[in-house]
Amino acid sequence: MSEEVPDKLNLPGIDESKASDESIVREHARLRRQHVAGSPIAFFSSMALILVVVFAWFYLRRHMAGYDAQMYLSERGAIHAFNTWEPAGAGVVKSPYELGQELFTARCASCHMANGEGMAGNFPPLAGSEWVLHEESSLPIKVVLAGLGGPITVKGQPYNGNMVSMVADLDDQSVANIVTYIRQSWGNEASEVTADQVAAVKDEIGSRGPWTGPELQSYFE
Amino acid sequence: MNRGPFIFIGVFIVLAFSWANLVHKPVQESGQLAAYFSDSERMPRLLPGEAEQGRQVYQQMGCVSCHTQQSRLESGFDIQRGWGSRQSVARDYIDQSPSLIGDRRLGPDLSNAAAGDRDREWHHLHFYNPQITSKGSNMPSYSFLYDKTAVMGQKSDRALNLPEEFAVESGYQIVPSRRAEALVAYMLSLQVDYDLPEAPNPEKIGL
Amino acid sequence: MKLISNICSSLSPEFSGDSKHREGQLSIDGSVRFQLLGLIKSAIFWLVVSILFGLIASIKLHSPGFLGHCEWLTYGKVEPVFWNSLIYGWLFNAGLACSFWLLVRLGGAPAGNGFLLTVSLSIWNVALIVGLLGILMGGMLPITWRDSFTVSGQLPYEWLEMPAFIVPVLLAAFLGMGLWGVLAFRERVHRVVYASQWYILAALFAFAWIYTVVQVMLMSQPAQGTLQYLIGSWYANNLLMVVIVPFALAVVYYMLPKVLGKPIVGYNHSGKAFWSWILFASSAGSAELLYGPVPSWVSSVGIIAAFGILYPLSIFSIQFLSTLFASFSRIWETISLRFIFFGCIGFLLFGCYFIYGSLRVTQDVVQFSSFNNGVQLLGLLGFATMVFSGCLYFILSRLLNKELPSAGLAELHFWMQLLGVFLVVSSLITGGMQEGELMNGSVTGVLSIVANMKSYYAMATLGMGLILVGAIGFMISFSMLLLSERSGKETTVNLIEESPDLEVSAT
Repeated sequence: MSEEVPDKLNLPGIDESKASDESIVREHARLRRQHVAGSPIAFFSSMALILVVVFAWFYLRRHMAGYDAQMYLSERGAIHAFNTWEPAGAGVVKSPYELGQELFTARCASCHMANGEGMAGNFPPLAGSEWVLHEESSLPIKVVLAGLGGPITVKGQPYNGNMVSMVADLDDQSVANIVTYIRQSWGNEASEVTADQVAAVKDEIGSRGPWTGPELQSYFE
Repeated sequence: MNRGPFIFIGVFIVLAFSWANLVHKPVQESGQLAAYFSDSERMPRLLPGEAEQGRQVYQQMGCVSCHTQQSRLESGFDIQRGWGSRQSVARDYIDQSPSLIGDRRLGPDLSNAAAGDRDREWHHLHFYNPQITSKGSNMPSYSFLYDKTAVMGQKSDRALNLPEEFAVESGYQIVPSRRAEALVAYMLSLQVDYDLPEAPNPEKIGL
Repeated sequence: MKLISNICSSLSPEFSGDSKHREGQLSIDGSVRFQLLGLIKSAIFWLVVSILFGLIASIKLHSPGFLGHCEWLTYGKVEPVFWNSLIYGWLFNAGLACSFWLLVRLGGAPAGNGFLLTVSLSIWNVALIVGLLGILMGGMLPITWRDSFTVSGQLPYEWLEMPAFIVPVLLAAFLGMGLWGVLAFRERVHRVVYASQWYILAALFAFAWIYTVVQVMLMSQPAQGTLQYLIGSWYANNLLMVVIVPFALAVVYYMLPKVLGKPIVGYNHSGKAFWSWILFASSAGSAELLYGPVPSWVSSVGIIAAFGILYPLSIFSIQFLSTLFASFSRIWETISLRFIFFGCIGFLLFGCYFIYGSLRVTQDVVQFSSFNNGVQLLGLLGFATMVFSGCLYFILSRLLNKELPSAGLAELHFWMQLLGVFLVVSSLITGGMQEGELMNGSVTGVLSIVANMKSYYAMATLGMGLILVGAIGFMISFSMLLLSERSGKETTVNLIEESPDLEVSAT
């Protein structure tokens, strides 16, 4: 056996070249111009191309998400559900009182506490406070708009704090909502405040820093 | 096709098409996203300074080889696993450069690594030797980010409380280096707990 | 001294003999001998380096304590070094060596501008060393150093992990090499252009194009957050599909008729295959972004393009397989065709797995698992590496006018590489499917998934070890070929027989 094919494997040696470079280039260039009818390669590649086109057609219809740069879903059903979704409770109009409560919780409750009792000696209470319940609603509006600092007396107790305005970025209606909320919560029963009243006070006081106790003393005389 | 320029121009057109469609178009359409403000809080939150340094350590150590920072809604169990609460969207990453999104999960997704009850101590033990906290993990130990120092008088309050079997000889302690502290600060800052209007979550698609 | 004189005789040999045609070839080969040997030498060096790092990375997956106290050998650094040295080191050097040899041989004229190529290939390889060190040293240099070199360690983009400062250098070096290729192409005397040349020109141009995009859109003026992820993935997939694969396809198109002596079956379809491949493959990459934080239509386009690869793949498969099976016995007689035969099989499997892995139903299972790495390695190792190795055996003996030194070593290289690639790829693909099923289809804890994957990782380690043995065999073969003394037979131009014309059956 081994004598018959002593060197069957051409290894190591050199892999023989069976075609010159020039003839490879020349013959293939000739073959490229030659069109063979009915070759398997034409048949199978056409089948593949049809498959590709059909796949692309269905896929494009189903998963392109309308070329939307802000759409991260690719199933049509999910996209439809997402686009028609509305947050629970959307459409229910909240009362000024409820809107005021949200703002109060976010901005005021850290000092005056959610129950409006303040913190003895540091932050005055709002519940039952003569400042809040004053029949002239412009007093609480003034304080909320511009802040209040220095020594004051609330429900007979002295306080010496420094409240700055917390509502500089809010519109008149939102300020009115906050004042309404504090005037009608925790047993407080005073009149509602409107955006017009807030606007009127704003016009009156302009842009200013926190009030001091003596500046507002006129309300209690 | 016997001319060089023909091939060049052809290939240029095809590649330019791919680039224009898949790279240029998205960059034009969503390359300038601004942060979202909800109740005057900026979303996504900016990283604290130390966490930003930790991000660099995360990048240099090649953590992205094994950990992704993206969660999927339409596929997989990312939300059930607690790795996220919604689909990650482009706006979550506007502050990240380079972005560490990653596409290989040898370990868990880290986009919400700070969620849950894992504290600083847990993360330090985990980086020092993952076998302490996650026995059987194939995460490498990052003990080279920790210094072994002699105890001078009292043990440092930053020293790790190693369990018995991993303890070092008495008189010594393991103290996190600056890089380890930064890396843990980064881990503790990874949390996507805010909602964005364009971000789908199970509720919004009716799951 | 002896070795030095042998190297000199390898680089500037003097041959005797009367084979006229062969002398023409020798002058063509001689015009690029020094540069090609430079590329091949670097290629083989990087092959061994990258597989070594691949082995370390693979071991760390099942034994995380291995070399655990070395900061610069931590898994997150070893793994990118493996991929980057495999691609930019081995595949680029080897691919360019094969391509340039093909360009001058098919052009039929000696190439000039040797200096340009020498300089750019040296810069490329030196820059590569610096870049890989940048990955390994990331975070370890003193801060002052880091600032002055703007080194912040590796980047988190797939196959772009080398520090940003090295990208312009690599780009410039590549432009030098690419320019040399284009100039060599222009100097051709055979005016008609063969399919191999299309693919080489396309790959040269494509890399310059996609790497420029990376430099501008990721490094100089980085796009916003998630778009970096998109650009990185676009780059990585184009690097594989329209740079490395075309280099390897060029080799296949040349080597089949060259060694078999038969034309490519159905060659008249090559043009369609070429254009459709570039068209579909250049967009196919974004399929993997499915469900990610990028607009969902981007991944949908990618999936459609990936499916489109079916068309060129059907042409390639019939062309290559029909040509190969028509002269099957010849495959086993030649070491180069053995490699290329399995390379072709690897390519067809790679194409099928690529399409399969892009579909939504598959990605629902395998996303983020080791499946993708398995498919990428099937393309990089199973196809490109096999094809380049085979072609290098063919080139080397002609370039140096020497016989391959040892059948045993060449066979060792072949078998080890074949078995190793099979083990690595099959363990990553099957393991990845199982990993993905647990990871994406259940809430199984990560630790139990890791425990489940250990045996697959061990198998991959074994595979990497075998590939490493093969690569070392290749390196020894190459060194022996370069360093051995020229035997009497090898000093004549008649050592390599004149090639006959291509046989074309009379139809």
